[in-house]
Amino acid sequence: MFQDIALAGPILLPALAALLLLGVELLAGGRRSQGSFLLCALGALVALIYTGYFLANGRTGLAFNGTLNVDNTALLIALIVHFSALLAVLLSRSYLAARRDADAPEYYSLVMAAASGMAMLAAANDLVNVFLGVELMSIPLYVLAAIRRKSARSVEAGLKYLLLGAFASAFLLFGMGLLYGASGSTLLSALPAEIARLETNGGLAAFGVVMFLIGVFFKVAAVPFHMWTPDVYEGSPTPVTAFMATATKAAAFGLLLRFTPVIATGMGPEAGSSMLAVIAVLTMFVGNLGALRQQNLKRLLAYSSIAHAGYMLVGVAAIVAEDGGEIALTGSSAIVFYLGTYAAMNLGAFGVAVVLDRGEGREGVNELKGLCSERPLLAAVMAVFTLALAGVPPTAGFLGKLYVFSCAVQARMYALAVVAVLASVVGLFYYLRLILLMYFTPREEGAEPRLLRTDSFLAVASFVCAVLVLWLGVLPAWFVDFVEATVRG
Amino acid sequence: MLMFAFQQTSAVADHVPLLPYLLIVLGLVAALLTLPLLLGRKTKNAVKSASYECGVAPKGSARQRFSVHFYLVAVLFILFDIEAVFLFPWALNIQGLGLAGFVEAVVFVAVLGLGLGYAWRKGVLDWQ
Amino acid sequence: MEENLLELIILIPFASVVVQYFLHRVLPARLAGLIACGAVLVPFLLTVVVGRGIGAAAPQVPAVTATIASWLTGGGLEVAFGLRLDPLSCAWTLVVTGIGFLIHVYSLGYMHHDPGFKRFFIYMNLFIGSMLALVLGDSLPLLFLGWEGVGLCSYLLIGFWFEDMNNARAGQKAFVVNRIGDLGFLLAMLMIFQTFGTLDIAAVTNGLSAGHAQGTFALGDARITLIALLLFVGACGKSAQLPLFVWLPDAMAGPTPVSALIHAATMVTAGIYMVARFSVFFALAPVASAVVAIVGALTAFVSATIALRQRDIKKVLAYSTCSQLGYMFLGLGVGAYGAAVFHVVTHAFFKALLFLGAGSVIHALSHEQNAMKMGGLKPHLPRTHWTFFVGCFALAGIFPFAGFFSKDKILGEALLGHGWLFPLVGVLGLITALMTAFYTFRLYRLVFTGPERLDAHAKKHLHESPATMTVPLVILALLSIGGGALSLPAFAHFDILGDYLRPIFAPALAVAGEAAHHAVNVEVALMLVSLAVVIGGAWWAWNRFARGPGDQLPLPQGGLPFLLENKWFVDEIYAIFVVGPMRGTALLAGFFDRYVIDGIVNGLARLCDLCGAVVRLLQNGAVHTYALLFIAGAVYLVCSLL
Repeated sequence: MFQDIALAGPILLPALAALLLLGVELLAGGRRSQGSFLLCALGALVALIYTGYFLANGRTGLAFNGTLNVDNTALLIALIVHFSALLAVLLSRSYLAARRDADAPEYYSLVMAAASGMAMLAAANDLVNVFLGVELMSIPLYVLAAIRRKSARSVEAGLKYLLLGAFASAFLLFGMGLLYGASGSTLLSALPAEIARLETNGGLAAFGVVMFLIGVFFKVAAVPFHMWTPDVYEGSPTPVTAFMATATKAAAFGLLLRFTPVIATGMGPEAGSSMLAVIAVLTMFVGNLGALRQQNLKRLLAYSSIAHAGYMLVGVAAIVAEDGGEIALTGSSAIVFYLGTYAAMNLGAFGVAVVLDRGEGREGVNELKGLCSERPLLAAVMAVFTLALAGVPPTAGFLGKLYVFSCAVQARMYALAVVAVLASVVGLFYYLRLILLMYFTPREEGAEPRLLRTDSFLAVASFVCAVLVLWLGVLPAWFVDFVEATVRG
Repeated sequence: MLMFAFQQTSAVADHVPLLPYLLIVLGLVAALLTLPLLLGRKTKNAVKSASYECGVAPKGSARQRFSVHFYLVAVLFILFDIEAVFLFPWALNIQGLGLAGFVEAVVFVAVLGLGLGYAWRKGVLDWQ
Repeated sequence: MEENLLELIILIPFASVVVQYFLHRVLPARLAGLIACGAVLVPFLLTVVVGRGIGAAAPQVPAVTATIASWLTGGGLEVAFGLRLDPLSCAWTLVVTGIGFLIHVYSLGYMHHDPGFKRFFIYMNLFIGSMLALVLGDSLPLLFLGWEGVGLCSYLLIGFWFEDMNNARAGQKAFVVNRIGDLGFLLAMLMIFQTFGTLDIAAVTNGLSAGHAQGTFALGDARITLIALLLFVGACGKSAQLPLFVWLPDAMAGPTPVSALIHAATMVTAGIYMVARFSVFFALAPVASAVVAIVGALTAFVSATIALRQRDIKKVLAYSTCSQLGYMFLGLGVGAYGAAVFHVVTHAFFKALLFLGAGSVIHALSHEQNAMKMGGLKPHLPRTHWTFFVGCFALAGIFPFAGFFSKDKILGEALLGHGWLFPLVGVLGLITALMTAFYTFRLYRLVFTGPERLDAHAKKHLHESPATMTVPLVILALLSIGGGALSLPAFAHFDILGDYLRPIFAPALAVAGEAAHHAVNVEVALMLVSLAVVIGGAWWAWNRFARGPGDQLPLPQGGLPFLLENKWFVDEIYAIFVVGPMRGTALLAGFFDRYVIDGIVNGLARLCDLCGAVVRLLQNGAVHTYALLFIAGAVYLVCSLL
């Protein structure tokens, strides 16, 4: 019992923090966002350290009758989720200070609740827990997206997310029902064997897998289930967007990694991987092409996040194609590496977006003009993130892409690897445009100097991200070894 | 390939007798809907086309706004309704579940209680 | 403990760069300069401490190693940021940091009035750090990193006064010529990885020795010869050998301390270091060794002839550097590895001394560099004069100054070598020694004695340099006098440096066969011959230029002087055969790039744009459109199942 609870710590701690935050709000009432901020940051930090401790000491195992499988991959994903949560909370402070209308008392509590759901999703080993995790993650995010109730954009974002999210949940649930019908089990780890045993089901399992995947594709924003992404990312408060783009993706990919054996047995390795490959190609291209002409920084980053989901799907396709074996390990560690580095660079980029925004809704990419001469350090940091997102060495973004794409090569999906590289070349265009704006385009004549304030929490967050991105880019060996060793178990 | 989903023909075969039943029902519904159109007398006036409210004369438009409180109370109702649904099976097995089960139920109720308190504090239950 | 100290040796200069870069606004100039000096002095002292422990000659190469961090892994390749201090790298580190420190101190005075004072010291520290990475790195990638790093610093420092377009061009020329050499190095690196499956230097050289012992690699193995030749191409670029030496004289555009540090004492010896480091390869490839010896001797000869007629004080020294580097390669080529390293050390002493002395003269004359407009400076610059005088003796190689011993060791091994090739290059070296003595004392006479030929501007501020500049000169002068004691001739049985380096070159000498010991009287006779030649040259110049260049001004007509005056037309040959075709190709490539590649790229970009527009069209903001697409996707996926 206590063993179970201890193993579920990465899930329970943020939930506890969420409840505590509500309780504090209950007792104190009114706007106490400063105290809430500190409590929330502390909660995220404790969860992060707790997860890291378990990871470092190899404290893994099954909990609650095998419905939670807290293995190393789950812990790594939870680590990324809590890291994202912590950094998003650090970004929130200056964002909320500048925008009082987003400063609802529930804000921090909802972030923690979502983090709890994400951690659950990463560890879920049972279809019921998967659904619980998905909803625990999504519902707070729906509310967070709409938290600026006076802003039409924000409410629109929340409503769209809710409607389409419910739609996707229906598919997910339908898929679960079918999978249960095809196997008679809800345990993810037992599904492949059961499906294989009850061969007579034929298409039932395949159909279930597709339905289930549609639900997951929605969460990772894969084309054509991505349509909500730009609108929701644009309308949500920027730190929430950062959190959604990084942590949701990590959690959903964690689920997907755990689900790969089911895909391989349910659909067959070839059909499954070719379907994933098609989705990956579509996602990479639509994401990158959509971003080309964007004038809004958050929308641009939204499209870029779609493209990044596509890159990671390449790795998933490779894993499914080989169904087990060495590539399942290298592929998983490649994707986890990608998720970790992507979290760092994306959170950093959104942090700079928070600074530029100044609570006045200045989200145009033109705000980057002349940043280099005004705030050289900020520009340099942003350049690091941008180059990392574009996948330029020596940043971590390059290595992440390299590892994931080489998985496709390992799985002998050469065409997919080539297409993925081409897609990332298309991506270069709009990332380099940002650099161009920062370094080579002066601001308009007569524009008055801007007062760009960076509060210390945000500065620390951005700095940590930049250091991580560069460090993992130049000296990736220890992290790669660590991830590979832990994923191997 | 989807067709293979119905390969378990034994189950399907068992339900074949339902087919005539289905047809009869559909036919009956269709007949009941079309016959009045053909046979009935048609009168049209304001009273006839007014919406029916238990014989009382209708007041105002049906499309009016409701206070958000209705929804909040309804959501709270569902929440505690489901709480009850969860607690019934627990109560039936309380002997077998022992202390651990009791603690879990207490935590469950406490979390919901916190939610209720929060809603209360936020003024959901105030009905000015 | 020692590992940590070793890490510090390389980390301190880089840390200093970071500190100076980020604090350049708040740091006062004087403090920045002192930090920079300290960042070179401390590594020097640490090297002494760590290096003392590895002095004992053992069967295997004694060394201290340290791994700072693992770097690249994957594909069977494991590369770490590993350091290795063995006798060879220790000798180099001491020279780099020791001479480097003196030059840093000198620069405090020399660059005192320069607006780019802080920038200068950042570059200098960065240079020292890169050079240490080159020397201490235990793997080829790290060596290459340092190699490129010093190339970059050289580029930055040659073009330090980039306001003048000529300086910027000189920097560019150095960079481009170096790239040609780098290509050779890179190819060699790839071939080494392919052949040995590792990039760890010790593993590679040990692997080759073991492979030779087992018969895998025979003497003269084609593959090894190719690797050695490619390595030598890299060395040619960095160490300014024929035909890639054209950049070095132009590199004199940088501030004089830079010329002293980079283009005389340290960076240009990187090529020597590499060849010495991979001496086993050259020992196993007699053809490659012969090429090294011939190229070295020719470079020494040609550069010396050009130096005979130069007027710019720094250009004379620059060509003499090329020439002396040629000696070193000659030594490496004939298998006198220890002697070559010895010459690197002594050359670092006296060439740094001469350059700094020249810098002191230039400083005193308000940046006048033409030796024809000097003369009679002896009473005005007493300390500069006598230290420069010492340097001249050392460069010319007159007993008992440092240059004599090292040069004589190389010439001795060449002249007494077997076959016809070694004596031939030895004779070429002897002729070069004659010319070296001649142009050295010509320069001395033109600058310090004879009638004053200063113009008014230079005369105005004529003054002896401050102590920060003259103290390093004095120290270097003492080293130039006594440096020969490091390695006396064989019959003296006193050879500190040789004993220290013995384990490094043991494998190479085991392959090639130890040079035969010659009778004492043969060696002494040889010494006397070379001494006579050198003194003869010096005497000739001493008398001829006693009254300044006066009698030289009506140029002796004829082919040879004309040829020398124009530096053998090397730059012109380059212009016709290298730069011209390159320009043409570049024009063609530019045309191709603008109209074909750009056309395709722009077309693609336009296509992408169009696709982006379609994507945006679908994104119309209406939820039902989104849901519709969602359903369409779902239907597609389900249909794909059927």
